Amino acid sequence: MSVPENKPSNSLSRREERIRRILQLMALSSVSVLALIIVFVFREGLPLIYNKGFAAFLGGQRWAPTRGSFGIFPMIVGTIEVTLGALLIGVPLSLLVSLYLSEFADRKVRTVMKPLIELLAAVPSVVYGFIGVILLVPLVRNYVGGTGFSVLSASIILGIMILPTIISISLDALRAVPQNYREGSLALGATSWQTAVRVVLPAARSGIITAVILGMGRAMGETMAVIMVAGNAVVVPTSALHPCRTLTSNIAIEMAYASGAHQQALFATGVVLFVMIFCLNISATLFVRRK
Amino acid sequence: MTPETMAGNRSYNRLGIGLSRLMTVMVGAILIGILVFLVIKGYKHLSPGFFLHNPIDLGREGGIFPVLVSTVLLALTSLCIAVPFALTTAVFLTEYTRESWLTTVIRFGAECLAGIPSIIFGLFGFMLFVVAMGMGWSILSGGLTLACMVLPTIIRTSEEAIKAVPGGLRQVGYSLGATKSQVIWHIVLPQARNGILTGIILALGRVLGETACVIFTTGISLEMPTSFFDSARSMSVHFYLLAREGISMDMAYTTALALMGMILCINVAATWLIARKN
Amino acid sequence: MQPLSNFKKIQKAEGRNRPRLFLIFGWLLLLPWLAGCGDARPAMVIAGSTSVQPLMEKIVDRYRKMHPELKINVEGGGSSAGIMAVITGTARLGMSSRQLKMQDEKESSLTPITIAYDAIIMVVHVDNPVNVLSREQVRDLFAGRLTSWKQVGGHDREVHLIIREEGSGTRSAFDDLVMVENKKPVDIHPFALVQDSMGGVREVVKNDPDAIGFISMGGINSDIKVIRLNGVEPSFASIKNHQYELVRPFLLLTRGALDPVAQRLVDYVFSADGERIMQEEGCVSARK
Repeated sequence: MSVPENKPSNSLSRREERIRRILQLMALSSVSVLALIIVFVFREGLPLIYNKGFAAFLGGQRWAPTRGSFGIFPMIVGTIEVTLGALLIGVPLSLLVSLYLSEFADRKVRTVMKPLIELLAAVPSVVYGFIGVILLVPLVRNYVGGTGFSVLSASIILGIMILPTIISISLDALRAVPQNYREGSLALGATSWQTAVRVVLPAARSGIITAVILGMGRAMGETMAVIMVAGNAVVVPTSALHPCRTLTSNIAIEMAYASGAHQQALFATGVVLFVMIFCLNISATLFVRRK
Repeated sequence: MTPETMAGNRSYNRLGIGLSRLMTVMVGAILIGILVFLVIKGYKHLSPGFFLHNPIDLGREGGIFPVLVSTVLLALTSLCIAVPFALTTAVFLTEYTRESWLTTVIRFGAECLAGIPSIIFGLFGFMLFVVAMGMGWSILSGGLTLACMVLPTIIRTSEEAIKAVPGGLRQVGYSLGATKSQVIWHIVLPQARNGILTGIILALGRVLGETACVIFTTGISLEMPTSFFDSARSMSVHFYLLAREGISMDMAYTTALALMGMILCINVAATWLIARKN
Repeated sequence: MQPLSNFKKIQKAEGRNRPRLFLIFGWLLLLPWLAGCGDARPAMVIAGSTSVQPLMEKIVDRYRKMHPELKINVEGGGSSAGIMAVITGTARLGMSSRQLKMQDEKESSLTPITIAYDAIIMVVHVDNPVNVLSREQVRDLFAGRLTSWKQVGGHDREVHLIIREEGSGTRSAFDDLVMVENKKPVDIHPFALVQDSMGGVREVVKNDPDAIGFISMGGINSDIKVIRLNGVEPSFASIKNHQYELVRPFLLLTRGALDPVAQRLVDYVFSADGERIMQEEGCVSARK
């Protein structure tokens, strides 16, 4: 005798199976596309690094792609300097601001600042870059020196750009620290500043590290704003007033007309960026896990 | 603790709080300054006509209507492509697979890709969609490229949102006799809606602000796009070109203001949607 | 009684079945509809030099008013990008402000059409007292051999060099025409600032009193000052009379023969209308 009770569950499990299949297919497609991008970039870029030599590519100081020179050392230094500069400006400022907003400010100030900061995260990077060009670059040129298009200008603009990111995430991390940490510290006689810096801040460490890593990632990946204020000269900047070119700017400037080995060199630059981000993420994950 | 130490502590206290207050005021001033600057420079041309008229003389006069339409089309295209794939991937990874080395690798891969500079996606999109696949500078090329760019982000945030749904809720569903897909569809996803929405809004913000990627995949044409294979100019690109070429600073600022207004509205709408659920 | 139907009843009671499905996947339905109701005629893409771009944009604008049914898009990217675009088929016509490199097999397969002659203008800030420079002085300035404006008759201030990216036709032409000594190329000083378009160069020079850059004649406006090269004022006349030295051709590039639509556009470029637009832009038409 057929089992009528089974029929509905059969069609049901078939339906479930079909849904599972569709989801699997779509998931596979997305993952494949992401893998494809990684594979594509590496496949185009690695042969060039292999041909020219690891040291020659990364350490070579001469970038003249139309004449066969593919040294990206100036760009690596440019990226590192600009990112570090942005962190140097952005992180202390963000920490102080989030500390103040979280520990010392009254609620009114917080309710005003928080949406303001989030609003600034909505400003497109080209707008930041442009404000940098018309406000910051002349300032640097007239009061500090050089042409104004420099590592300094790029660092300041990037530092301001990553403020919203770091502040909002740090603020959440600081607010999440249990109140009894603070109470305990104050009960032991510490001042509120000591409490904030020696108790709350360390307690929120992992969230703040995440915020800084994210900010660092944003600074490293920023293209348009940097192209507009950094000067784009292919030199190893030995002073903050020197112009510089970052890895991302290099790709953007040369992308449209690169072909052959030149194009591969740009993908190779992509490989370098991938590896840098990869290392950054790994160290972040390890750090968070250690907590 | 001696009185001297305590006095010293107190002055450090005042110094510390004072310094952080100063920094906050400074940062607040910078942020407000930027906003005020943009509003002052840009509100001159702000009018319904600005949004509805076509640009005259390469954007020196007139409005930004085709640019507005292009921006919306580009954003819609990229999200229409990215969201279904990202959501299904997130659901599949969390609900249908067991935690294994593969899922860890995929998750780490998505994490890395979410942090990759967008210009790499632009390079990829230009080489693949525009040139190799012959789509040329088009909304389709741009939409596909931007979709690839935000895919990892939406996957990651959706995954976290879905994982955050308490297991107990799923158990309730199963105990009522629901199948896996029903539990996911009727219980898990609605619960995770806020997180998923936040991820999509983040992605949308990123898409709207992206410039380099868009120039290289969608081009800079000021014409009203009539098909997905048309080149088009998004608002951030329009701002960039107007400002950099010195075509019209006024119109550039107004475009920037309009763009920021758009992003602001989307954020506000998202906050409202999330609040409504709660 | 199936426990399943309990669940279904609960769902039906809440009536939340359809909307969510539509919300997530309904967006996909938008796409073919939008594509279908659109005009899928492929546009003619003209891409390349940012120096030729303003000229072509004006010409195409005027041409489009006469033929509103056509879709023509003008893109930038630089001369080399334009050449690349024609080679790969991404653009129908390329714009270049430099000659094709004949030693490159892909470039030499394209057909160049010279549409105009344009001058490379040295520009400085409006307040810069220097008005005249010799070609050698320009070369030495950009090579970094002369570092102060005082050495060429100006104030004692550091010279800020503005150049274009390597793929720029204007940059190539500048390299070929100016940065040579005894038939050998002279390197530009590595600290020269790179801007990726003509407008970008103009904006920097407009704001920096110590800057010097090079742009095409069509980019001149009242924001910057023109240098008289070897004493010759660049103008329509001085280009035509071959008095001004830094002249390079504006080319339209095509792969193979021109199709009728493109041919009609090129004919318009060479018409009296086109010549007039070129004159407005400051180039000498190559119209015979």
